[in-house]
Amino acid sequence: MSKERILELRRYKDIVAFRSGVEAPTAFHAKNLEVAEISEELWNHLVPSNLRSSLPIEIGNSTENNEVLQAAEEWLKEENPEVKSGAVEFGIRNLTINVTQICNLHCTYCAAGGDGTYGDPVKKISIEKTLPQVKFFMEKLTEGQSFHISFLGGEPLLYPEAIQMIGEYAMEIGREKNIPVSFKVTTNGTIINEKVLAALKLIKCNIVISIDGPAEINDRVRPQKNKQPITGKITEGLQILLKNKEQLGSIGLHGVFDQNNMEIEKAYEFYLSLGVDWFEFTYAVNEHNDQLNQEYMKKMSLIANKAWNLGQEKELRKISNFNQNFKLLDAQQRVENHCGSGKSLLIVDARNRLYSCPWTVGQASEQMGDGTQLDMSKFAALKESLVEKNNCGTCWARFLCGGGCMFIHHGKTGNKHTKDPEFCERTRFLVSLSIMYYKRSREASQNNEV
Amino acid sequence: MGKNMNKKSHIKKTKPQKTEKPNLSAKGPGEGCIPIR
Repeated sequence: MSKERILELRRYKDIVAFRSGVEAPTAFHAKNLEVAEISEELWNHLVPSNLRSSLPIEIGNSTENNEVLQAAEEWLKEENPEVKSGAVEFGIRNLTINVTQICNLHCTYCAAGGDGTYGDPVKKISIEKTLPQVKFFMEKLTEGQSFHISFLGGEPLLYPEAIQMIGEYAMEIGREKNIPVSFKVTTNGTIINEKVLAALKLIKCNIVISIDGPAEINDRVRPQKNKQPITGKITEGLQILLKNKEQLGSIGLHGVFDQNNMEIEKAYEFYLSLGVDWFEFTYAVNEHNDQLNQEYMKKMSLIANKAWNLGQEKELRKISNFNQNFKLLDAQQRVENHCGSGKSLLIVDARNRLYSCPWTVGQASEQMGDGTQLDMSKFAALKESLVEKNNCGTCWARFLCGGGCMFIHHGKTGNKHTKDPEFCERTRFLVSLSIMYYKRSREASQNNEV
Repeated sequence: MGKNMNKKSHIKKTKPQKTEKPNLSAKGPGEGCIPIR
């Protein structure tokens, strides 16, 4: 099968370099998180590699009398004092709470049991059991730390009373302990009424609406249970949210792409027309298809180019897939865990059981505890950094990826610590694009300063 | 620019923009499949 080459990649130890079109090659120092333009001579000395490979490529002992490779060796030896560790200390600072496990939609790719229920259609979480859980985790925080609650489901806006009560309670503890508390709801956006709006405003909630494109696409992949179209209702609801934006947090759109829909460009154009803060394009966590993976990467490259042409860094960074890498590169912040699973993050299901991942809710083997009782042996198994545990030591993207998604790895290989090569390729691609645009952006801002 | 033009111009480093330390906890979905740190 022929694969169209979107970018050229070369490698030497912990230096990787990319080239796309006629621009000067961009290099990245994997450990120091430094980005640089390199000379044609150095590019020519690096060894052609590809996005599938994590081999660190040595060039034998031929570097000794080679001035060009000596420059690379010197760069490799440097320690960047600005680089911050990505180690995550144990302590739950993020709770994702399934306030209901009922959903009014029936999305084709639903990773929550196919219908938002995880196989257990609990209508309402018990507030009496949830508040002590929130207190239990927040009590352990110290000043300087923060706490975050994500409301998820099912469709969480089916139970706005829970969002309001849990939110108010967490804010009260936050005030007492001087701990900032933030909130987010991931919703299908179909139920924006007065009661919902009041609850969201009260906690200045950040809002993520799941929508996969314009009506002709979204109604096909995210239909109601009765198969009737719903997209018009979502855009109406979004307009209400945007009118109340000052009393809410950020508003973003989240699309999931898989074999049923890979129309990323159409989604991008549609998202742009809606006037929100940001958008994200996610490859479905349960999709494993190499050809689709290639198509996803190609389309992400196309929308990155569109965004850049539209408004350079500002527009590109509205796409969170790129923005997250920009943030890490500017802050020189390493990531050693793709997510805080079992370290800083827990999921509370609608029966108040605890899990380490939103997608393993309901699986007895993945349960981390119940109420405020934690199964510490399960936490011990997730203690090590994922970059180490998943053997990412030779991958150049390891400190911007953090070892990858354990759920996706498990779905492909049957083992959460044996990596899915498609995930790695996709991630390396998004990171490499981010790095190339990052260099362009910083050059543009430095030129503006002059 | 002196420091950035080292290694006989083979490597010209890009200067990061000063920024606040990102809140690794703020990443979530969208924000990935929900990768929250």
